Amino acid sequence: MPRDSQAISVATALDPLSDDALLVLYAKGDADASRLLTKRHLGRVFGFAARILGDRAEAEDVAQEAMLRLWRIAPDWRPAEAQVSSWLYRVVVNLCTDRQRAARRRRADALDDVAEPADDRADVAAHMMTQARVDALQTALATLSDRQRQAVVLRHIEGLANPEIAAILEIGVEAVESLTARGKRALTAALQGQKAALGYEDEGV
Amino acid sequence: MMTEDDLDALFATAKSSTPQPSFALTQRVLAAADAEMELYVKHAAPSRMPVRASFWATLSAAFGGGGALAGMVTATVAGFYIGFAQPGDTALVTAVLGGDSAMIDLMPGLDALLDETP
Repeated sequence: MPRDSQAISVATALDPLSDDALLVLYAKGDADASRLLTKRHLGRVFGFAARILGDRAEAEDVAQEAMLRLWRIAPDWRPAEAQVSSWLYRVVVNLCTDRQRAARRRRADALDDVAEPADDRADVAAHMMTQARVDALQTALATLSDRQRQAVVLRHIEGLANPEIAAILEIGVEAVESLTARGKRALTAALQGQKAALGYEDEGV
Repeated sequence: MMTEDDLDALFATAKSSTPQPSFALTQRVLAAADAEMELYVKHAAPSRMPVRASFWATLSAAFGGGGALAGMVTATVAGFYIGFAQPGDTALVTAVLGGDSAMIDLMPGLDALLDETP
């Protein structure tokens, strides 16, 4: 990440401006505005896509496409309709859903040759506990439905409030609550038996 | 047994180790931003041209639209032509318009002044 922060050095004069104002400036030809918008949003967009897809290369494609759509909508951006961050989350959700559907169609013919990474990683848990935990969570997330995974990640990793998640997923708040509750139960079940390997054993049952 | 707290701890760990975008991805995103912006600037250039033509827009608006302006221009040109060329027989125009020509003395009293006979 240090390289990234160095890569985007932006005139500090733009720092206080809102995302909406930066989009207006960008559409008028201000390259610094797009640099600052990238600095503010690319990390979140990529991190979220990576959590949803569980694949770095695919997440890069999605993040790049989502940012491209932001550049393209800039001249027609309507500030009142959505926050830039929520808008980007929604774009990422849709792009990820499309990709995962396509991947499932491709996989329908092929054998499921996915290994059990969590088990392998658990062996090195003593040395790389954090990574093992994150990997285990990622593997468990993959067992959820697309909608559950999206809701759980937005709620518990991105830290968004239910109304904002509802707007992003274009569903009701009750549906969000239901998705996250069921998603967490499914995650707990998927992580069952790995508790010791993940280093939670000493923390009391 | 995995508890709610364990799961929350796991979320917190995941949150603190969110994957970061690579330098290459950042560069690609910025390159795309510049390329798209260039398209806007190119598109925007022709749309600024009417500013120069807005003289006519202002003028025609002042006279109540392009039609009115065109009528005025026609009348002006026709008037100028008639004044300059002095067509000899305006009776033809009158005939074409279906009217009768008649002599009208606009200043009857003037005849007395113009009469040079003592």
